[in-house]
This record gives sequence, C-alpha cells and structure tokens, in this order.
Amino acid sequence: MSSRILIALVGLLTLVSCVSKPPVSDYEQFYKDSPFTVVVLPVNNETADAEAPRYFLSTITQPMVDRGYYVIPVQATADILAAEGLADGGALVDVTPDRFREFFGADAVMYITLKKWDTNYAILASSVEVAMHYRLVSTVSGAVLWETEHQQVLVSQSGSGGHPIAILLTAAINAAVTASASDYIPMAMQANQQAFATLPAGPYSPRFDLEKRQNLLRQERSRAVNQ
Amino acid sequence: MRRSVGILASLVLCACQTSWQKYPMSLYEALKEETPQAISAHHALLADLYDKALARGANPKAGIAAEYAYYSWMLGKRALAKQALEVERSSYPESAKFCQLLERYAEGIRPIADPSSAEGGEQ
Repeated sequence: MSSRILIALVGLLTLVSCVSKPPVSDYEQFYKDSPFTVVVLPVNNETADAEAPRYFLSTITQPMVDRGYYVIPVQATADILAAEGLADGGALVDVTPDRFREFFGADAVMYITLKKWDTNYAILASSVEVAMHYRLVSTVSGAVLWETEHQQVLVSQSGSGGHPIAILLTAAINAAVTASASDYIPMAMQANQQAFATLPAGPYSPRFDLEKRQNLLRQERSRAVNQ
Repeated sequence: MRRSVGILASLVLCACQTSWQKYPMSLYEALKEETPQAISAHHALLADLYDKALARGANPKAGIAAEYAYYSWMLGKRALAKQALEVERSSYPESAKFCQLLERYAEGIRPIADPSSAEGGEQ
C-alpha cells in the first residue's frame, strides 16, 4: 500500500479555539501597572490528571520570555511555595497579589487553570485535548490586566471506506498517533504560543515601544468614537 | 522501516533545534523524572544557554541565570550558583528580591549527586 493511500486513510486535524473577549480591557491600566516581572503560580487543576499541572509549568516560560517578560523561574517558585505549604493553585487563592510583590518582587501574578488534559480513545477516531485559562493580575492595583482562554484539540480520523484491512491499518495508525501525542506537552506549547501572542509585548521585546504606542492610540480612538 | 524513518526524522529535527528551543522539553523531563540524570541534563542545557550568552557579551535570557543558579545548588555547585545569581542581578535588576529569596531558600537545599561529575559536588 503506497504512502499516499496511508495519508488518505488517516486525517490529522488540529482545532484551536479561544474566547472572543479582548484579552486586555484597559491598556492605560496595563502600562501604568507595568506587569513585566511575572511570578507564575502553580497551576490550578480542574482535570483528573494529578501530574498535569507540574508538567504544564514547563511550557510557560519560553513563550513569555520571547514576548519580552521577566518570568521568575517556575520550578524554583513552585518549590519555594511548596516549602511554605502552598503546593497547588487552589491553596493560593487566598493569598493576595501584593504578597507576591513583597516576597518575589513580582509586578504581576499569572494564574493558570488547567481545564482539559484528556485523551479520547476510539478505533477509528481519537482525540487529544488541552484547554487552559490564563489571568494576569497586577500586584500593584490588584486589577486583572490580561485574561484569555485557549483550547487545542488534535483529532486523528480515518476514511477507510469500510474495507476490513484498511480499518485494521487505520486503527493501528490511530493508536500510534494518539500514543505519540499523549504527553500533551507539544499541544500545550502551541496553545501557550497562541495565548501569549495576545499579551502585549514586554520591555525586553523589540516591539515593546511600537505596540505600546499602537495599543494606547487604539484605545484612545475607541473611547473617542464611543463618546 | 516506516517507524525507523519517523524516529530518524525526529532525531534530525531535535538535532537542528537550538538550546532555547529545547528548553521546554528539557525542563519537562527534569520535572517529570526528578532523577539526578534528568536534573543534570537540564543543568547542562542551562549552562549552554548561560555560557554562550556570556561568551557573546550578552545577557542570558531573562531568568535563565537564576534558574541555572537553582539547578547548580541542587547539584551542590554552590560557587557556580552564587556566580550565576550575581549575573542575574546585574543583568536584570528587577530580579534582586527574588534572587535574595532564592539564595535564602537554596542554602537549605540538600544537594543530589551529579552523575556528570566524578567529584559530584562543590566547584
């Protein structure tokens, strides 16, 4: 069976979705609070996978640093907080953001909730799904400065047309595709890349000044139109 | 055969990646395994990012010198850790408070054995 037929049998589909609300509601507040030194808290887990939040942390630093932010090392943060008895995101809900300025020197706190981290197995179609909610809160004003939600779904589908050999073959390929995607990390990285692309550039990005001018100007025009 | 081609393609792709592109998976392995080998491997990747930046006369990427310091502490390389923390402070003054906190916390860490070093500890 030629490789062309094999490719036709298995279709890989990546679906991405995000919330329609603008991630930044007030650019003036954003730049006034300058949330550029960020402490990323241990992830709040709403999934059944107890290990997922710790693994997910490994995917956060790179895209934020590439957007020009100073990200306080995530593992050290998690270990220090665990030593203080604050090991998971749920336990941190009652700690006010200003405490992270006091102890970590952070301008902002990144709260992440892991909403989906699932694999759905089936003979002819399987899917791997990750979904996260992100919220950046100022340690100066306590205001939510940026908030978004992203979901990434990888679906492997077959189009075997009912032929028994093709069904068996596509089932085997599906299993291989699902197994290789099952550690979720590459998908989480993609979802983060898309989420953080909506975060205004930080001061270590060459785009910082340009984006700041554009964002403030856009907001000013929008207010003038609405008045 | 097909599987071998796939593995080979993955290896070629991996070999073409920069240390910064490898960073998330390296950190993932360190967080997942928590073995001396995985921690030592991530420490080596951080060393590469850190050393190459300094050799170019540039600052390491934000937070990398502090993370390198933390992993150095884990492996018992205290002198290296303190040196990296100084680089972080001078490169990113906003890190001063965190560096102070990290130093206080890391002094209490019990180092693990470094499999890459026969002497395994202090430099």
